[in-house]
Amino acid sequence: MRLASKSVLIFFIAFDLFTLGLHLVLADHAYLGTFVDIHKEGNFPTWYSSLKFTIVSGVAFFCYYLERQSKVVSNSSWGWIVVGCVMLSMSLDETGQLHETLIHWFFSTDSGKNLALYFNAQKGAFSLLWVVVFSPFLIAILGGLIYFYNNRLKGKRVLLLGAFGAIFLLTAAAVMEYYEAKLLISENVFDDSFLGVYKTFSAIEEMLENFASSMLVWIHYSYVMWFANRSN
Amino acid sequence: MSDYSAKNYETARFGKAIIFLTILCAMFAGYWVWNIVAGRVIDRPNLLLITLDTCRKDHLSVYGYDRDTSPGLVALARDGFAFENVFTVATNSLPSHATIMTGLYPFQHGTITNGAKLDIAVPTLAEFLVKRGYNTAGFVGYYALGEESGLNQGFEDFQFHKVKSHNHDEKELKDDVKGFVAALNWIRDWNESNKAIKDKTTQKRSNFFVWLHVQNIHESYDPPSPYDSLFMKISKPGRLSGFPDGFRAYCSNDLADAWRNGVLPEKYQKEATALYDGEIRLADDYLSKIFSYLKESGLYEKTLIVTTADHGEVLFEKVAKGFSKNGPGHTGRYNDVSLRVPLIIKPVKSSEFNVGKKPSQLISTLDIAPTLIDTLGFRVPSWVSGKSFKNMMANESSQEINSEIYFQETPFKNTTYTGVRNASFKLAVKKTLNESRYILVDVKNDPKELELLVLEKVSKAKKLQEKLDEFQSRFDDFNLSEIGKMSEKMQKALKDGGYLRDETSL
Repeated sequence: MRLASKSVLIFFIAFDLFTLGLHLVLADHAYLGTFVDIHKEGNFPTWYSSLKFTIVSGVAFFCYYLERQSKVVSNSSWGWIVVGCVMLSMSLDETGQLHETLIHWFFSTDSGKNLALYFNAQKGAFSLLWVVVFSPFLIAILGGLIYFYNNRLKGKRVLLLGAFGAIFLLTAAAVMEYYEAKLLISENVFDDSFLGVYKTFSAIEEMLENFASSMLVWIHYSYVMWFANRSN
Repeated sequence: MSDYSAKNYETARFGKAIIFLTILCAMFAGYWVWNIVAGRVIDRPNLLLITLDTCRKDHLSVYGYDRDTSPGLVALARDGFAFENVFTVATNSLPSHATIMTGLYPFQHGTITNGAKLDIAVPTLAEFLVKRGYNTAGFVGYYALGEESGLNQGFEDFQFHKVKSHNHDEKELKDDVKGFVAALNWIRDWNESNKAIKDKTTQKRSNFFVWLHVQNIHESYDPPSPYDSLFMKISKPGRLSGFPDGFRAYCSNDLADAWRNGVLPEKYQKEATALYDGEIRLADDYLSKIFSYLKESGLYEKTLIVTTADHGEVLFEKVAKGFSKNGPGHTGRYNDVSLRVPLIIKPVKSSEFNVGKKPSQLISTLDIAPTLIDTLGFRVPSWVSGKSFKNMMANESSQEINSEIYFQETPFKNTTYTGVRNASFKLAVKKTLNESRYILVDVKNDPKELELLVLEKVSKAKKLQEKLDEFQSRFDDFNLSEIGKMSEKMQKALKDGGYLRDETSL
């Protein structure tokens, strides 16, 4: 069982690196570039990331089902539903670019204009400033995840550390997105060196998100396996 | 307590700490975001930029001139800084103003002389600020700086108020001060409407950037009454020995013709200078009205006020023969009476600065745009060539801003003037199709520029020549002869202003 859990992690991390490799090798390709470029939306890396969040979400719902069935662990099982919904919304957001749509609408309002003024933001930076607008919610979600995983994974030191690691990676990705926005806001945005830094930031941010979702798949899967073994 | 209960206890304690921290951080972030989206945290200064066309620094009492030409600027300098060593990049109004507005050299912004048009792709200070929520308004007094020049880029409201100086007609004071009045009314209206907005909601939407270009001081020197006789009684038009027609001291063409032909008596030179000083005093009095309103309305401390000039003026100084023309006019191209300009900056919350100082660092008008952007609290864009000296004002630093500064313009077809100066020397070159002529001046020991040095004999100037060559190589690939087709209106305006005199002019 343990080997199987590790294999899941190794498989997904290896696949993450494979998508990075595809990006590095083929991103500038005339026909395939759009399909593998991790800076772009609606392509293979996006669907892959979305698939992982869907798996994480599905397994979370399954955890809820398992716990409710076994009645061994009954307190705060509903947390899995919340986690499942959060992960499902992340999956939908990956493919549907929901936060981009929302934030563009927000920037057409007076409040959005004030935000743009505060950050000296031009249009290009809008979609990245969602981190600022949603920061209270993001903090609440990240805090909630830490609380829940700490509660659920106590005694499972490796999984707990893995969960905290995944949350840390997601937080780092959000922070990097904020700094990408700051880079785009910079008047030096047309300098080649700045564009290079921006693209590096963007690639790192996407990979952090990828590693985090892979770790969450592993953690949720491992929890299911542990729970099934325990019930047996 | 068993191990299991102890672990449970630790987990619960950690969980509570997480909840507490999460709520605290989320509330803090929420408060921050709420303040931003409600527009409560944007509190930038307003900007009032005044450019006194053709104003010599040494004719302002704020810099020690013996006539009381600028009491308003004296008061302004008491609340700010009057910079001693500021030099323009070009001695024609459009290239110089374009540099002030962009922080770029003429070969970079492309408006190499009057009559050209600033390319729409060149970013300006007004565009920078309007994109950041500033209400922008420009008031110019000369057609060559009007909409056709492209300097209107970024101004929501851009007005041209012609000064009657070039008409030589009988005129009233009100005819010559329309620009000042329009700028004052605009600021007043802005303040009233902004107050109304603030009363209705908690949002503070914007600040203002007003550019007031003062054309009055520019030749011809013919201020309306009472400024025409403020410093000296002026002779009535009449006969002048050696001058073919009736001579008028207030007419720039008459003055230039008489002076260049050596028939202008000292009396008329003094009268013309007194008229020039009268124009400065007129401008100062009307600027004082604007400053007074800013004080009355409480905007003074919230407004960054900058007064400078696009270039100076040659009055009756002799210039290097064959290099440039004698005045009156800004015909010198290389000499300090043409290149040196005043610069007075009154910061916001001046009480927080050690004001009233006269910094002596070498500054170019190229540095004005980045300094303003920096002082308003924005990051200086990388496309700007000038350097911000904001920190020099804030920290009273005596640190050097520029080790040398450059000037460059192409006032006539196939004739380019470039130059470089440091604290000791100034080297200028006039390049035509056939030759390159150099002029070297020891500005440290010969501030009146009475002696021209031979470049080859001054070893210390060798490095300066290398710098100048390097600077010139930067625009080798630029075509500095074509400025595009001018409208008839522009051609007439340039002729009236004395810029288009013959077929060799641009």
